Amino acid sequence: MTHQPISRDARYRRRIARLRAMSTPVKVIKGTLSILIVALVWWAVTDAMRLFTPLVLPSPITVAKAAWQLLFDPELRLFSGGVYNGNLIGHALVSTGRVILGFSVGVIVAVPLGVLLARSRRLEPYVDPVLQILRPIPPIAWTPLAILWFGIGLEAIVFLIFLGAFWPMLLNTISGIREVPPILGRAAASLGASRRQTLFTVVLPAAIPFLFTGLRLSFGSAWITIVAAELIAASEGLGYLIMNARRILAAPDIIVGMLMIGLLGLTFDRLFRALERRLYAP
Amino acid sequence: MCELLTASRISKVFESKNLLGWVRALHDVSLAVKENEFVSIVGPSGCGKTTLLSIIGGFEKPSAGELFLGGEPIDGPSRDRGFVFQADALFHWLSVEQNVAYGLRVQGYTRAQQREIVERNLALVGLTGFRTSMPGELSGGMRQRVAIARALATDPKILLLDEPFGALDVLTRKKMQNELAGIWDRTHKTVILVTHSIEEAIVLSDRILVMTKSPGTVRHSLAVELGRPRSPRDPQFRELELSITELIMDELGDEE
Repeated sequence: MTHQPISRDARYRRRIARLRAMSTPVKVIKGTLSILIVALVWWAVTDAMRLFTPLVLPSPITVAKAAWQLLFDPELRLFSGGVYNGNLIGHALVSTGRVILGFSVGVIVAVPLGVLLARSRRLEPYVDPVLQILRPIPPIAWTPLAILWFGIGLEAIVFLIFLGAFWPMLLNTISGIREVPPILGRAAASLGASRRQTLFTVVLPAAIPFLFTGLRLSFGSAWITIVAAELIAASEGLGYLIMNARRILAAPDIIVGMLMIGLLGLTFDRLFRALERRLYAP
Repeated sequence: MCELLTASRISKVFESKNLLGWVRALHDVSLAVKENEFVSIVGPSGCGKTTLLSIIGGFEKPSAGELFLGGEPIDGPSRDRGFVFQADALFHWLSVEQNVAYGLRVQGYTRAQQREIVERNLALVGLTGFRTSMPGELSGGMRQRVAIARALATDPKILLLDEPFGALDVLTRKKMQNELAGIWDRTHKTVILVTHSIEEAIVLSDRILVMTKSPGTVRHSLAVELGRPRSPRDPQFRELELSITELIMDELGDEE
Protein backbone atom coordinates (compact mmCIF):
# COMPACT_ATOMS: atom_id res chain seq x y z
CA MET A 1 0.00 0.00 0.00
CA THR A 2 2.40 2.65 -1.14
CA HIS A 3 0.06 4.62 -3.35
CA GLN A 4 -2.17 7.44 -2.22
CA PRO A 5 -5.61 5.96 -1.56
CA ILE A 6 -8.15 7.23 -4.06
CA SER A 7 -10.81 9.03 -2.13
CA ARG A 8 -14.50 8.41 -2.70
CA ASP A 9 -14.94 12.00 -3.81
CA ALA A 10 -12.24 11.68 -6.44
CA ARG A 11 -13.92 8.60 -7.88
CA TYR A 12 -17.28 10.35 -7.82
CA ARG A 13 -15.86 13.38 -9.61
CA ARG A 14 -14.31 11.19 -12.26
CA ARG A 15 -17.64 9.50 -12.93
CA ILE A 16 -19.34 12.87 -13.32
CA ALA A 17 -16.60 13.95 -15.71
CA ARG A 18 -17.11 10.80 -17.82
CA LEU A 19 -20.83 11.45 -17.99
CA ARG A 20 -20.20 15.03 -19.05
CA ALA A 21 -17.65 13.85 -21.58
CA MET A 22 -20.41 11.95 -23.39
CA SER A 23 -20.89 14.96 -25.61
CA THR A 24 -24.18 16.83 -25.38
CA PRO A 25 -24.92 16.80 -29.17
CA VAL A 26 -24.72 12.99 -29.24
CA LYS A 27 -27.16 12.78 -26.32
CA VAL A 28 -29.54 15.24 -28.00
CA ILE A 29 -29.45 13.27 -31.27
CA LYS A 30 -30.13 9.97 -29.50
CA GLY A 31 -32.93 11.52 -27.45
CA THR A 32 -34.60 13.10 -30.49
CA LEU A 33 -34.30 9.83 -32.38
CA SER A 34 -36.09 7.86 -29.66
CA ILE A 35 -38.98 10.35 -29.58
CA LEU A 36 -39.22 10.21 -33.39
CA ILE A 37 -39.38 6.41 -33.31
CA VAL A 38 -42.24 6.43 -30.79
CA ALA A 39 -44.10 9.00 -32.90
CA LEU A 40 -43.51 6.92 -36.02
CA VAL A 41 -44.89 3.75 -34.45
CA TRP A 42 -47.83 5.73 -33.15
CA TRP A 43 -48.44 7.13 -36.63
CA ALA A 44 -48.06 3.66 -38.16
CA VAL A 45 -50.74 2.04 -35.97
CA THR A 46 -53.17 4.95 -36.42
CA ASP A 47 -53.03 6.87 -39.72
CA ALA A 48 -51.11 4.28 -41.71
CA MET A 49 -52.65 0.96 -40.63
CA ARG A 50 -55.83 2.23 -38.97
CA LEU A 51 -55.67 -0.34 -36.16
CA PHE A 52 -57.60 2.00 -33.83
CA THR A 53 -60.50 4.29 -34.47
CA PRO A 54 -59.47 7.96 -34.06
CA LEU A 55 -62.07 8.24 -31.32
CA VAL A 56 -59.96 5.96 -29.12
CA LEU A 57 -56.46 6.72 -30.31
CA PRO A 58 -56.08 9.70 -32.62
CA SER A 59 -53.01 9.95 -34.83
CA PRO A 60 -50.02 12.08 -33.77
CA ILE A 61 -50.87 14.52 -36.53
CA THR A 62 -54.36 15.09 -35.18
CA VAL A 63 -52.93 15.54 -31.71
CA ALA A 64 -50.34 18.03 -32.99
CA LYS A 65 -53.10 20.01 -34.72
CA ALA A 66 -55.15 19.96 -31.52
CA ALA A 67 -52.12 21.12 -29.52
CA TRP A 68 -51.57 23.99 -31.95
CA GLN A 69 -55.17 25.12 -31.64
CA LEU A 70 -55.32 24.71 -27.84
CA LEU A 71 -52.14 26.75 -27.52
CA PHE A 72 -52.79 29.57 -29.98
CA ASP A 73 -56.45 29.48 -30.96
CA PRO A 74 -58.51 27.89 -28.17
CA GLU A 75 -61.81 29.42 -29.38
CA LEU A 76 -61.74 27.11 -32.40
CA ARG A 77 -62.14 24.12 -30.10
CA LEU A 78 -65.55 25.02 -28.79
CA PHE A 79 -67.48 21.81 -29.12
CA SER A 80 -71.20 21.58 -29.42
CA GLY A 81 -71.61 19.70 -26.14
CA GLY A 82 -71.53 22.80 -23.94
CA VAL A 83 -69.06 25.31 -22.61
CA TYR A 84 -65.53 24.06 -23.07
CA ASN A 85 -62.64 26.19 -21.92
CA GLY A 86 -59.75 24.89 -23.98
CA ASN A 87 -57.19 27.52 -23.11
CA LEU A 88 -54.20 25.20 -22.57
CA ILE A 89 -51.79 27.86 -21.35
CA GLY A 90 -54.36 29.21 -18.93
CA HIS A 91 -55.02 25.75 -17.49
CA ALA A 92 -51.31 25.02 -17.24
CA LEU A 93 -50.70 28.28 -15.38
CA VAL A 94 -53.53 27.59 -12.96
CA SER A 95 -52.22 24.07 -12.22
CA THR A 96 -48.63 25.27 -11.82
CA GLY A 97 -49.69 28.03 -9.47
CA ARG A 98 -51.63 25.58 -7.29
CA VAL A 99 -48.73 23.15 -7.21
CA ILE A 100 -46.27 25.85 -6.17
CA LEU A 101 -48.61 27.00 -3.41
CA GLY A 102 -49.32 23.52 -1.98
CA PHE A 103 -45.72 22.45 -2.42
CA SER A 104 -44.41 25.52 -0.58
CA VAL A 105 -46.75 24.98 2.35
CA GLY A 106 -45.81 21.27 2.42
CA VAL A 107 -42.08 22.02 2.48
CA ILE A 108 -42.42 24.78 5.06
CA VAL A 109 -44.25 22.41 7.41
CA ALA A 110 -42.26 19.24 6.63
CA VAL A 111 -38.68 20.53 7.00
CA PRO A 112 -38.89 21.91 10.57
CA LEU A 113 -41.00 18.94 11.67
CA GLY A 114 -38.51 16.52 10.09
CA VAL A 115 -35.58 18.25 11.78
CA LEU A 116 -37.38 18.13 15.11
CA LEU A 117 -38.24 14.44 14.78
CA ALA A 118 -34.75 13.49 13.62
CA ARG A 119 -33.03 15.38 16.44
CA SER A 120 -35.33 14.53 19.32
CA ARG A 121 -35.18 10.94 20.45
CA ARG A 122 -37.78 11.68 23.12
CA LEU A 123 -40.47 12.95 20.76
CA GLU A 124 -40.07 10.20 18.18
CA PRO A 125 -41.89 7.31 19.98
CA TYR A 126 -44.99 9.49 20.34
CA VAL A 127 -45.12 10.92 16.85
CA ASP A 128 -43.79 8.01 14.84
CA PRO A 129 -46.84 5.66 15.13
CA VAL A 130 -49.18 8.41 13.92
CA LEU A 131 -46.93 9.12 10.97
CA GLN A 132 -46.64 5.43 10.13
CA ILE A 133 -50.44 5.09 9.94
CA LEU A 134 -51.04 8.29 7.96
CA ARG A 135 -48.15 7.88 5.55
CA PRO A 136 -49.50 4.97 3.43
CA ILE A 137 -52.77 6.84 2.75
CA PRO A 138 -52.37 8.28 -0.75
CA PRO A 139 -53.29 11.97 -1.01
CA ILE A 140 -56.06 11.07 -3.46
CA ALA A 141 -57.82 9.05 -0.76
CA TRP A 142 -58.18 12.33 1.13
CA THR A 143 -60.15 13.89 -1.72
CA PRO A 144 -63.68 13.19 -0.41
CA LEU A 145 -62.75 14.49 3.02
CA ALA A 146 -61.04 17.52 1.48
CA ILE A 147 -64.19 18.36 -0.48
CA LEU A 148 -66.27 17.90 2.66
CA TRP A 149 -64.01 20.24 4.60
CA PHE A 150 -63.19 22.88 2.02
CA GLY A 151 -65.72 22.47 -0.79
CA ILE A 152 -64.73 22.33 -4.44
CA GLY A 153 -62.11 24.97 -5.04
CA LEU A 154 -58.61 26.19 -4.35
CA GLU A 155 -58.47 25.23 -0.65
CA ALA A 156 -59.33 21.57 -1.22
CA ILE A 157 -56.82 21.25 -4.04
CA VAL A 158 -54.04 23.02 -2.17
CA PHE A 159 -54.72 20.76 0.81
CA LEU A 160 -54.34 17.65 -1.35
CA ILE A 161 -51.14 18.96 -2.96
CA PHE A 162 -49.85 19.83 0.46
CA LEU A 163 -50.31 16.19 1.50
CA GLY A 164 -48.61 15.01 -1.69
CA ALA A 165 -45.61 17.25 -1.09
CA PHE A 166 -45.46 16.79 2.67
CA TRP A 167 -44.61 13.09 3.00
CA PRO A 168 -41.60 12.78 0.69
CA MET A 169 -40.17 15.99 2.12
CA LEU A 170 -40.70 14.88 5.72
CA LEU A 171 -39.18 11.43 5.23
CA ASN A 172 -36.18 12.76 3.30
CA THR A 173 -35.57 15.46 5.88
CA ILE A 174 -35.62 12.88 8.68
CA SER A 175 -33.23 10.50 6.94
CA GLY A 176 -31.06 13.36 5.69
CA ILE A 177 -30.55 14.70 9.21
CA ARG A 178 -30.00 11.21 10.64
CA GLU A 179 -27.42 10.35 7.98
CA VAL A 180 -25.20 13.29 8.94
CA PRO A 181 -22.12 11.64 10.50
CA PRO A 182 -22.16 12.33 14.27
CA ILE A 183 -18.47 13.31 14.19
CA LEU A 184 -19.38 16.44 12.23
CA GLY A 185 -21.55 17.55 15.14
CA ARG A 186 -18.83 16.57 17.59
CA ALA A 187 -16.26 18.54 15.61
CA ALA A 188 -18.51 21.61 15.64
CA ALA A 189 -19.14 21.27 19.39
CA SER A 190 -15.42 21.00 20.13
CA LEU A 191 -14.88 24.18 18.09
CA GLY A 192 -17.29 26.05 20.35
CA ALA A 193 -20.53 25.87 18.32
CA SER A 194 -23.78 25.87 20.28
CA ARG A 195 -26.50 23.30 19.49
CA ARG A 196 -28.32 25.89 17.44
CA GLN A 197 -25.19 26.92 15.54
CA THR A 198 -24.38 23.26 14.91
CA LEU A 199 -27.85 22.72 13.45
CA PHE A 200 -27.73 25.67 11.07
CA THR A 201 -24.05 25.66 10.10
CA VAL A 202 -23.27 21.94 10.07
CA VAL A 203 -26.25 19.56 10.23
CA LEU A 204 -28.48 21.27 7.66
CA PRO A 205 -25.69 22.00 5.14
CA ALA A 206 -24.47 18.40 5.46
CA ALA A 207 -28.01 17.19 4.76
CA ILE A 208 -28.46 19.30 1.62
CA PRO A 209 -28.23 16.39 -0.85
CA PHE A 210 -31.05 14.60 0.96
CA LEU A 211 -33.07 17.79 1.26
CA PHE A 212 -32.79 18.33 -2.47
CA THR A 213 -33.84 14.78 -3.22
CA GLY A 214 -36.76 15.50 -0.91
CA LEU A 215 -37.63 18.68 -2.79
CA ARG A 216 -37.52 16.90 -6.12
CA LEU A 217 -39.58 13.88 -5.03
CA SER A 218 -41.93 16.15 -3.18
CA PHE A 219 -42.52 18.31 -6.23
CA GLY A 220 -43.03 15.22 -8.38
CA SER A 221 -45.57 13.89 -5.91
CA ALA A 222 -47.32 17.26 -5.74
CA TRP A 223 -47.51 17.33 -9.51
CA ILE A 224 -49.06 13.85 -9.62
CA THR A 225 -51.52 14.84 -6.92
CA ILE A 226 -52.71 18.02 -8.61
CA VAL A 227 -53.82 16.28 -11.76
CA ALA A 228 -55.72 13.67 -9.80
CA ALA A 229 -57.24 16.34 -7.55
CA GLU A 230 -58.29 18.46 -10.51
CA LEU A 231 -59.98 15.48 -12.14
CA ILE A 232 -62.44 15.57 -9.27
CA ALA A 233 -62.48 18.82 -7.41
CA ALA A 234 -61.80 21.66 -9.83
CA SER A 235 -63.30 23.85 -12.51
CA GLU A 236 -60.04 24.74 -14.20
CA GLY A 237 -56.52 23.34 -14.51
CA LEU A 238 -54.94 20.61 -16.62
CA GLY A 239 -56.72 17.78 -14.79
CA TYR A 240 -60.02 19.54 -15.40
CA LEU A 241 -59.12 20.04 -19.07
CA ILE A 242 -58.51 16.31 -19.51
CA MET A 243 -61.67 15.34 -17.67
CA ASN A 244 -63.76 17.79 -19.67
CA ALA A 245 -62.24 16.61 -22.93
CA ARG A 246 -63.26 13.06 -22.06
CA ARG A 247 -66.79 14.20 -21.39
CA ILE A 248 -67.06 15.50 -24.96
CA LEU A 249 -65.03 12.58 -26.37
CA ALA A 250 -62.16 14.81 -27.53
CA ALA A 251 -59.36 12.24 -27.38
CA PRO A 252 -56.76 14.54 -29.03
CA ASP A 253 -57.34 17.12 -26.31
CA ILE A 254 -56.91 14.48 -23.60
CA ILE A 255 -53.56 13.51 -25.05
CA VAL A 256 -52.46 17.14 -25.43
CA GLY A 257 -53.30 17.73 -21.77
CA MET A 258 -51.36 14.63 -20.73
CA LEU A 259 -48.30 15.61 -22.77
CA MET A 260 -48.42 19.09 -21.25
CA ILE A 261 -48.41 17.54 -17.76
CA GLY A 262 -45.42 15.39 -18.72
CA LEU A 263 -43.48 18.29 -20.21
CA LEU A 264 -44.10 20.61 -17.25
CA GLY A 265 -43.14 17.87 -14.78
CA LEU A 266 -39.93 17.25 -16.68
CA THR A 267 -39.13 20.96 -16.82
CA PHE A 268 -39.50 21.39 -13.06
CA ASP A 269 -37.44 18.28 -12.35
CA ARG A 270 -34.64 19.69 -14.52
CA LEU A 271 -34.87 23.03 -12.76
CA PHE A 272 -34.41 21.37 -9.37
CA ARG A 273 -31.45 19.35 -10.62
CA ALA A 274 -29.80 22.46 -12.04
CA LEU A 275 -30.38 24.34 -8.79
CA GLU A 276 -28.92 21.46 -6.80
CA ARG A 277 -25.78 21.40 -8.95
CA ARG A 278 -25.42 25.14 -8.58
CA LEU A 279 -25.74 25.04 -4.79
CA TYR A 280 -23.85 21.87 -4.14
CA ALA A 281 -21.13 21.31 -6.71
CA PRO A 282 -19.57 17.89 -5.97
CA MET B 1 4.70 22.81 35.56
CA CYS B 2 1.23 22.19 36.90
CA GLU B 3 -1.18 19.52 35.91
CA LEU B 4 -3.57 20.77 33.24
CA LEU B 5 -5.78 17.73 32.88
CA THR B 6 -6.59 15.22 35.56
CA ALA B 7 -8.83 12.21 35.25
CA SER B 8 -9.45 10.21 38.38
CA ARG B 9 -10.86 6.71 38.59
CA ILE B 10 -12.75 6.83 35.31
CA SER B 11 -14.92 3.81 34.50
CA LYS B 12 -17.20 3.32 31.56
CA VAL B 13 -19.82 0.63 31.14
CA PHE B 14 -21.71 0.15 27.90
CA GLU B 15 -24.96 -1.71 27.39
CA SER B 16 -24.34 -4.88 25.46
CA LYS B 17 -26.17 -7.83 23.99
CA ASN B 18 -23.94 -10.33 25.81
CA LEU B 19 -25.10 -12.52 28.71
CA LEU B 20 -24.44 -9.86 31.33
CA GLY B 21 -26.23 -7.14 29.42
CA TRP B 22 -23.29 -4.79 29.78
CA VAL B 23 -19.60 -4.60 28.96
CA ARG B 24 -16.90 -2.76 30.85
CA ALA B 25 -14.89 -0.59 28.45
CA LEU B 26 -12.84 1.32 31.02
CA HIS B 27 -11.99 0.40 34.55
CA ASP B 28 -10.55 2.75 37.12
CA VAL B 29 -8.43 4.87 34.79
CA SER B 30 -6.52 7.75 36.29
CA LEU B 31 -4.17 10.04 34.48
CA ALA B 32 -2.70 13.51 34.69
CA VAL B 33 -1.29 15.59 31.87
CA LYS B 34 0.95 18.57 32.50
CA GLU B 35 0.84 21.82 30.64
CA ASN B 36 2.79 21.62 27.32
CA GLU B 37 3.18 17.88 27.69
CA PHE B 38 2.73 15.51 24.76
CA VAL B 39 1.19 12.27 26.02
CA SER B 40 0.40 9.26 23.88
CA ILE B 41 -1.93 6.42 24.74
CA VAL B 42 -1.09 3.11 23.09
CA GLY B 43 -2.70 -0.29 23.45
CA PRO B 44 -4.33 -3.10 21.52
CA SER B 45 -7.64 -2.64 19.71
CA GLY B 46 -10.57 -2.75 22.10
CA CYS B 47 -8.62 -1.54 25.13
CA GLY B 48 -10.86 1.53 25.42
CA LYS B 49 -8.33 4.16 24.40
CA THR B 50 -10.70 5.85 21.97
CA THR B 51 -13.50 5.69 24.56
CA LEU B 52 -11.19 7.37 27.06
CA LEU B 53 -10.41 10.15 24.59
CA SER B 54 -14.13 10.61 23.80
CA ILE B 55 -14.78 11.02 27.51
CA ILE B 56 -12.00 13.58 27.82
CA GLY B 57 -13.47 15.30 24.75
CA GLY B 58 -16.82 15.44 26.57
CA PHE B 59 -18.67 13.47 23.87
CA GLU B 60 -19.40 10.66 26.29
CA LYS B 61 -20.05 10.69 30.00
CA PRO B 62 -18.05 8.40 32.28
CA SER B 63 -20.06 5.87 34.31
CA ALA B 64 -17.91 6.77 37.31
CA GLY B 65 -15.02 9.10 38.04
CA GLU B 66 -14.18 12.75 37.57
CA LEU B 67 -12.31 14.84 35.04
CA PHE B 68 -10.89 18.32 35.43
CA LEU B 69 -9.30 20.63 32.91
CA GLY B 70 -7.46 23.54 34.48
CA GLY B 71 -9.45 22.99 37.69
CA GLU B 72 -12.84 23.09 35.91
CA PRO B 73 -14.89 19.88 35.74
CA ILE B 74 -15.39 18.51 32.22
CA ASP B 75 -19.06 18.42 31.29
CA GLY B 76 -19.68 18.07 27.57
CA PRO B 77 -17.59 19.17 24.60
CA SER B 78 -16.11 22.65 24.60
CA ARG B 79 -13.68 24.85 22.74
CA ASP B 80 -11.18 24.21 25.56
CA ARG B 81 -10.48 20.84 23.96
CA GLY B 82 -9.62 20.69 20.27
CA PHE B 83 -10.34 17.32 18.71
CA VAL B 84 -9.00 15.62 15.59
CA PHE B 85 -10.83 12.45 14.55
CA GLN B 86 -9.60 9.38 12.73
CA ALA B 87 -12.36 9.62 10.15
CA ASP B 88 -12.63 12.65 7.91
CA ALA B 89 -14.58 15.22 9.92
CA LEU B 90 -14.01 18.26 7.70
CA PHE B 91 -17.05 20.24 6.61
CA HIS B 92 -16.87 19.19 2.97
CA TRP B 93 -19.13 21.98 1.72
CA LEU B 94 -16.71 24.61 3.07
CA SER B 95 -13.34 25.54 1.60
CA VAL B 96 -10.10 24.87 3.47
CA GLU B 97 -9.94 28.38 4.90
CA GLN B 98 -13.65 28.34 5.83
CA ASN B 99 -13.07 25.05 7.66
CA VAL B 100 -10.17 26.49 9.62
CA ALA B 101 -12.16 29.66 10.33
CA TYR B 102 -15.27 27.75 11.48
CA GLY B 103 -14.52 27.78 15.21
CA LEU B 104 -13.57 31.45 15.07
CA ARG B 105 -16.74 32.28 13.17
CA VAL B 106 -19.09 30.60 15.67
CA GLN B 107 -17.18 32.18 18.52
CA GLY B 108 -17.76 35.63 17.02
CA TYR B 109 -14.24 36.69 15.98
CA THR B 110 -14.11 39.60 13.52
CA ARG B 111 -13.34 38.95 9.85
CA ALA B 112 -9.91 40.52 10.20
CA GLN B 113 -9.05 38.37 13.22
CA GLN B 114 -10.31 35.28 11.42
CA ARG B 115 -8.19 36.01 8.35
CA GLU B 116 -5.05 36.56 10.39
CA ILE B 117 -5.48 33.41 12.52
CA VAL B 118 -6.42 31.23 9.53
CA GLU B 119 -3.37 32.48 7.65
CA ARG B 120 -1.08 31.64 10.58
CA ASN B 121 -2.48 28.15 11.12
CA LEU B 122 -2.48 27.21 7.45
CA ALA B 123 1.18 28.27 7.32
CA LEU B 124 1.81 26.11 10.39
CA VAL B 125 0.53 22.99 8.63
CA GLY B 126 2.04 24.00 5.29
CA LEU B 127 -1.19 24.46 3.35
CA THR B 128 -1.11 28.19 2.58
CA GLY B 129 -1.45 27.47 -1.14
CA PHE B 130 -4.65 25.47 -0.66
CA ARG B 131 -6.74 28.15 1.06
CA THR B 132 -9.56 28.09 -1.45
CA SER B 133 -9.49 24.35 -2.21
CA MET B 134 -12.41 22.17 -1.24
CA PRO B 135 -11.68 19.22 1.09
CA GLY B 136 -12.73 16.79 -1.66
CA GLU B 137 -9.81 18.01 -3.77
CA LEU B 138 -7.20 17.19 -1.12
CA SER B 139 -5.43 13.93 -0.28
CA GLY B 140 -6.17 12.15 3.00
CA GLY B 141 -2.98 13.48 4.61
CA MET B 142 -3.72 17.05 3.60
CA ARG B 143 -7.25 16.74 4.94
CA GLN B 144 -5.93 15.69 8.34
CA ARG B 145 -3.54 18.65 8.29
CA VAL B 146 -6.55 20.92 7.69
CA ALA B 147 -8.30 19.21 10.61
CA ILE B 148 -5.28 19.91 12.83
CA ALA B 149 -5.16 23.55 11.71
CA ARG B 150 -8.91 23.85 12.39
CA ALA B 151 -8.52 22.42 15.89
CA LEU B 152 -5.53 24.69 16.65
CA ALA B 153 -7.13 27.87 15.26
CA THR B 154 -9.37 28.41 18.29
CA ASP B 155 -6.35 28.00 20.57
CA PRO B 156 -7.72 25.19 22.78
CA LYS B 157 -6.05 24.43 26.11
CA ILE B 158 -5.42 20.87 25.00
CA LEU B 159 -5.43 19.06 21.66
CA LEU B 160 -6.94 15.58 21.55
CA LEU B 161 -5.87 13.42 18.60
CA ASP B 162 -7.79 10.19 18.05
CA GLU B 163 -5.67 8.06 15.70
CA PRO B 164 -5.45 11.02 13.35
CA PHE B 165 -3.28 9.14 10.87
CA GLY B 166 -4.95 5.74 11.25
CA ALA B 167 -6.67 5.93 7.87
CA LEU B 168 -3.54 6.95 5.93
CA ASP B 169 -1.14 4.71 4.05
CA VAL B 170 2.19 3.88 5.70
CA LEU B 171 4.38 6.41 3.88
CA THR B 172 1.96 9.31 4.26
CA ARG B 173 1.60 8.34 7.88
CA LYS B 174 5.35 8.60 8.54
CA LYS B 175 5.44 11.95 6.81
CA MET B 176 2.54 13.17 8.93
CA GLN B 177 4.28 12.03 12.13
CA ASN B 178 7.24 14.23 11.28
CA GLU B 179 4.97 17.12 10.34
CA LEU B 180 3.17 16.81 13.67
CA ALA B 181 6.50 16.68 15.52
CA GLY B 182 7.43 19.92 13.73
CA ILE B 183 4.10 21.55 14.56
CA TRP B 184 4.49 20.57 18.20
CA ASP B 185 8.02 21.99 18.30
CA ARG B 186 6.64 25.33 17.18
CA THR B 187 3.55 25.43 19.41
CA HIS B 188 4.28 23.24 22.46
CA LYS B 189 0.53 22.69 22.74
CA THR B 190 -0.59 20.17 25.36
CA VAL B 191 -1.53 17.04 23.41
CA ILE B 192 -3.05 13.64 24.07
CA LEU B 193 -2.58 11.30 21.13
CA VAL B 194 -4.32 7.95 20.86
CA THR B 195 -2.54 5.62 18.48
CA HIS B 196 -1.81 1.96 17.93
CA SER B 197 1.56 2.76 16.39
CA ILE B 198 4.26 2.49 19.04
CA GLU B 199 6.75 4.14 16.70
CA GLU B 200 4.44 7.12 16.26
CA ALA B 201 4.07 7.43 20.03
CA ILE B 202 7.86 7.38 20.56
CA VAL B 203 8.56 9.91 17.78
CA LEU B 204 6.11 12.39 19.30
CA SER B 205 5.65 11.95 23.03
CA ASP B 206 7.11 13.08 26.29
CA ARG B 207 5.27 10.26 27.97
CA ILE B 208 3.55 7.10 26.80
CA LEU B 209 0.66 5.46 28.60
CA VAL B 210 0.19 1.77 27.86
CA MET B 211 -3.37 0.52 28.13
CA THR B 212 -4.48 -3.07 28.43
CA LYS B 213 -7.65 -4.86 27.57
CA SER B 214 -10.49 -6.34 29.64
CA PRO B 215 -10.78 -4.41 31.69
CA GLY B 216 -9.43 -1.39 29.81
CA THR B 217 -7.08 0.43 32.09
CA VAL B 218 -3.77 2.29 32.05
CA ARG B 219 -1.15 -0.27 33.13
CA HIS B 220 2.14 1.57 32.52
CA SER B 221 3.39 5.11 32.16
CA LEU B 222 6.77 5.54 30.47
CA ALA B 223 8.72 8.77 30.06
CA VAL B 224 10.47 9.12 26.70
CA GLU B 225 13.85 10.67 27.43
CA LEU B 226 15.25 10.84 23.90
CA GLY B 227 16.36 14.12 22.33
CA ARG B 228 14.22 15.62 19.59
CA PRO B 229 13.97 15.17 16.67
CA ARG B 230 13.86 11.43 17.16
CA SER B 231 14.86 8.84 14.65
CA PRO B 232 13.80 5.19 14.60
CA ARG B 233 17.45 4.45 13.62
CA ASP B 234 18.55 5.39 17.12
CA PRO B 235 19.30 2.15 19.08
CA GLN B 236 17.67 3.62 22.20
CA PHE B 237 14.54 4.29 20.13
CA ARG B 238 14.52 0.64 19.01
CA GLU B 239 15.03 -0.57 22.55
CA LEU B 240 12.12 1.47 23.87
CA GLU B 241 9.91 0.33 20.99
CA LEU B 242 10.73 -3.31 21.77
CA SER B 243 10.08 -2.99 25.47
CA ILE B 244 6.69 -1.33 24.90
CA THR B 245 5.80 -4.03 22.39
CA GLU B 246 6.73 -6.65 24.97
CA LEU B 247 4.59 -4.96 27.61
CA ILE B 248 1.58 -5.10 25.33
CA MET B 249 2.30 -8.66 24.15
CA ASP B 250 2.65 -9.88 27.74
CA GLU B 251 -0.76 -8.53 28.61
CA LEU B 252 -2.29 -10.09 25.53
CA GLY B 253 -0.62 -13.39 26.48
CA ASP B 254 -2.25 -13.34 29.92
CA GLU B 255 -5.61 -13.03 28.36
CA GLU B 256 -5.33 -15.95 25.95
